[in-house]
Amino acid sequence: MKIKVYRWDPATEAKGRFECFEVPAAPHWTVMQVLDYIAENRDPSLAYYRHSACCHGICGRCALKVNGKVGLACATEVGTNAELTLEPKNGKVLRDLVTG
Amino acid sequence: MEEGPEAVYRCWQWAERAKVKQQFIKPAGWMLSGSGMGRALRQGLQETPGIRTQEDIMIVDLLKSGDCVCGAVGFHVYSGEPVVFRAKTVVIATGGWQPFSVTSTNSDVTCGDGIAIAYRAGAQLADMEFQLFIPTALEPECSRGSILPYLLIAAGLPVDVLDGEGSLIPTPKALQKIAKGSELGKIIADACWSQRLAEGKQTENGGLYLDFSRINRKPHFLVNTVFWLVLNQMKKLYRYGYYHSDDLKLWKKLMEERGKLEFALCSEYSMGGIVIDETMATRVPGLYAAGEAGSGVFGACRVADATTEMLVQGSRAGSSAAQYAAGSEFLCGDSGQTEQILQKVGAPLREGDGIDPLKSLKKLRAAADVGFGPIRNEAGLSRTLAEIRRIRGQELPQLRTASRSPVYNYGRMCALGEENLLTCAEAGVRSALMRKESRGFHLRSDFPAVDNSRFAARILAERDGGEMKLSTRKPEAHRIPIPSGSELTVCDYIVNQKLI
Repeated sequence: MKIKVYRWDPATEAKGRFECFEVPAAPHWTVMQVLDYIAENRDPSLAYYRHSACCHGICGRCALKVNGKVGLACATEVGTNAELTLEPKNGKVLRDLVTG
Repeated sequence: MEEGPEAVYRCWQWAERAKVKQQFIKPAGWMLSGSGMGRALRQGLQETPGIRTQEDIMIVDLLKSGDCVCGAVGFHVYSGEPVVFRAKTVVIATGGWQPFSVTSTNSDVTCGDGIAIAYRAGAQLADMEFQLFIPTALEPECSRGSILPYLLIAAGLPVDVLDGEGSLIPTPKALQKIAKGSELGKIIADACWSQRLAEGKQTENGGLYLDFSRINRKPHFLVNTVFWLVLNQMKKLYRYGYYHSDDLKLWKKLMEERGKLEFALCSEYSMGGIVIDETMATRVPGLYAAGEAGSGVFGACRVADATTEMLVQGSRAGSSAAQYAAGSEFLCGDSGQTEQILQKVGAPLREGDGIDPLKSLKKLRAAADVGFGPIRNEAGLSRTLAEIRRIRGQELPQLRTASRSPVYNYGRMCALGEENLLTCAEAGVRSALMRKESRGFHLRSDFPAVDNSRFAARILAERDGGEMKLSTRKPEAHRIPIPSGSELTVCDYIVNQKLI
């Protein structure tokens, strides 16, 4: 599955960009599992909400935009999409997908 | 026991005012979701005057003035800015710890930060070998880590458990009777099923199967009716059709299509933690602990709801700490301490090549899976301990994050958390090696007997000149005599001691 992820470090970059990753995701993977895969196997510098994350839709803090729609990374399945676009939930970007 | 009803009722009232969905089941049952409990406690914080909250700060170490605790140092996880607290007392309520690959309804805070911080400040740890394992989903992937398999079994649904080769694992009738409706059901399942794991009859992922054949043989209309009733019952606490983020309709579809689903025995709770007295004080002046971070009343096996313990201990710790603070002055930390801790906070962000903290943490978790899981033996535990020591010696000083940004740097949080998890894991594994018997949730295939004559004692861990030192403490008998002699297995112990 092709994953397009928004990247921006406002401290060092003037504007954001998208970066693509190939991830061997199965339909029942969650977006959080996709992000974990990228961080563990492709690019550990990716910032996404992960600390203290419950991973079961309980704490509700891992919100982001998945194909333009706001949802929880841990509770959104990737499904059979060929491509997935992941963006921050709003414009207050601290780094990559993490917002203030 | 005495303070439980009042503490629970106070929390119940907070939940009511926070409009949390909750159920009271006569005579003394109380159900609410984890997020509901969070909202109730937040309501309590808001209603209580004089409390100022600061969120998303990772505390790295405590400040001390001589023997006394006098503050804490950490950093804000979003901004990365250092944070220094001066305090007359500190209460640690950071929850438990578990070092495994699959977390059972636990977040990454299970690195045992508070427990290890207290250990470094001079507190003792106890009962660290005891982890509570329960059936936890491995599939579907979106439910990995959910305790739904446990709930299906506990609800009394006609499901069976198969080993990795597809053979049924029976539970003896006498134990089935004890397990029904009892918290002891968890330990009975663990003791019966983990034998197959010891025989190497697990799935490729170290799990077992939940078999739905008996449900699938029942008439469709009956299954559909029961499922509809379950959905309606669950909606009293969760959104319709879901248990947290688990899609119950997907589960039903997979149960029908596949007939079985893989699960594993994963840790949902750690019985051990910081040694505290009845006022929740540690042996370090000014330092208190409450809840799962403390080695509370449960010892080898949690036999009741941890929520009540948490509420009572939290309340007591707060009162004790307030009383201590009223008779104390603000102290200045020993010279150079703050700078030393801040240096540690910045270490993972330093320039230069190093080891990825996420990968290192994964290795530690894999090592714990191998030897410290639901069934243990000398060889496996020794391998795990060797890997813990290797990671501490070779990898921990070399941890470097890929991004040097202090802003929301999860790699840094993992690097700092790994030191804590290594401390907890070393205490747990070394205690498990020392305890050459089976007791509670500590099951050893090479020592299956419960040996009261040698091991009816707590194992303590403390820091001694930079090294971890273990010792034992015999319990004092009060109303109930300390058991003597031995039993062939934990299951025999449960039956013969008439624990229910």
